[in-house]
Amino acid sequence: MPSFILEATARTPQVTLDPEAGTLLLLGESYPEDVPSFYAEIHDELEAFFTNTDSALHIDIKLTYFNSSSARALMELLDMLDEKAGNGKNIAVTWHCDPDDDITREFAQDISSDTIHITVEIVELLPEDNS
Amino acid sequence: MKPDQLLRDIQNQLNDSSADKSDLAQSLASLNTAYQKQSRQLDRLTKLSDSTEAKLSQTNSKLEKLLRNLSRFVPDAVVAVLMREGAEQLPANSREKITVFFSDIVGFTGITERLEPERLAPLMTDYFTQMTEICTKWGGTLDQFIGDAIVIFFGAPASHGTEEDAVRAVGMATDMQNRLETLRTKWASEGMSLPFEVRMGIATGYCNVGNFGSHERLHYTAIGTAVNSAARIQSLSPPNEVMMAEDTYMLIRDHYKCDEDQIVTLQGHQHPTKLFKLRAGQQDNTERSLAASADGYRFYFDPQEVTDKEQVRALLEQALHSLDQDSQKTDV
Repeated sequence: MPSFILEATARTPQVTLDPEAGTLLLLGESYPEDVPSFYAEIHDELEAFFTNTDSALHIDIKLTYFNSSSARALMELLDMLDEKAGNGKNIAVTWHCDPDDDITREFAQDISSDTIHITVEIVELLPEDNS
Repeated sequence: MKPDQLLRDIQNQLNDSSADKSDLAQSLASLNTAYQKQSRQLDRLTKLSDSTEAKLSQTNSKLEKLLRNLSRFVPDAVVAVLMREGAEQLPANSREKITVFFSDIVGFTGITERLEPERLAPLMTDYFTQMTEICTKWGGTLDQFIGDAIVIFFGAPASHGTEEDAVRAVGMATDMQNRLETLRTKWASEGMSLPFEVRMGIATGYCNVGNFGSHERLHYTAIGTAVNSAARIQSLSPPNEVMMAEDTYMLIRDHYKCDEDQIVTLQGHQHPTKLFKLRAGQQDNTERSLAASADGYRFYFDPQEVTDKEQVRALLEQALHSLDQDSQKTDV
């Protein structure tokens, strides 16, 4: 299965799903004009990944800004991942938050309290990811 | 499972009379869990939206404060372009026909030596504030303060046409001289005994206008012979007068009365040029402040500065009443 890559734009984050390494990265800002379509594509790629392999998946979320619609899409994405983990998939999520960004950190903490089968580790976003 | 799927399952179970009630109870429990989860997600989104709005409001306040401070350092016209279109859209250095105004206080060094710093600072702040206000009123681009000198130009970054730019520059200078007359009376009433006289010079010509300096620090300014000419004409102007180059006079002669003054050779000009002195006493109609003095009478009135109208009215009536009483005594 080839890697799935979406280059970052002014409104959308960089998305890299590397099936061989078993990693998914979301990096940048997220306020796409069509949020459902943007996240549906990621959703479909993940479904394909889980269908084709039993490898573990590590997800790194490094979003410096996301709007409310993106927040909803992220919650749905984590719901799907939680369900997959409930069905035996090995999934881990690391959410990288800017130390000055209380809003994102609280949101990530809130979300992690709602997942049953995956844990969301919250770590500090490094300066090089925030440029 | 999503709530809509659960609802469909429950509907099917209700329609199926043979369905097991324990399955139905399980589906209802799952629906309740899903409902509670969605409710939490909704709360989370509302909280996120409120937090973002609060943060946005804070950022806006900071931006407004920054903008107010920026306006104190950068010409208003430049701030307007920065706000509307961004720094990239500031016009690149270009050659424009502008009218440059230059003013200087006569004997300022002597004033600084004779006035205490605590008296000098509010005096200069008052002076620069009032002059800046008039510059803004006439739409000038405040280039810079050089010590006690003020450099203002008209015609960039926005121009109203070469003639209108020149008319505005001269109108502003008239306004400034009139305001200074008022200010001198005010300062005298506050105990300031030193003369505060200002020379003003105006010239029109092509200049290079734009952002000059380094990449880190730019200054929007004008460079060219008109700037040098305005400075030189100012130095030739009598105190409390406005002198201008012939190029400016030709543009404003239908609007303001001037007298031919002297012929000089300005730097950058091959031939001698005539200078014109603006005839004094030409009021700007928008100037509402009054100042006058005579024996036993010193009057300064600026309605824009009045905070207690009743008190001012009572003082004026008291003065008129005293005047009437004295007149009656004289008549008797």
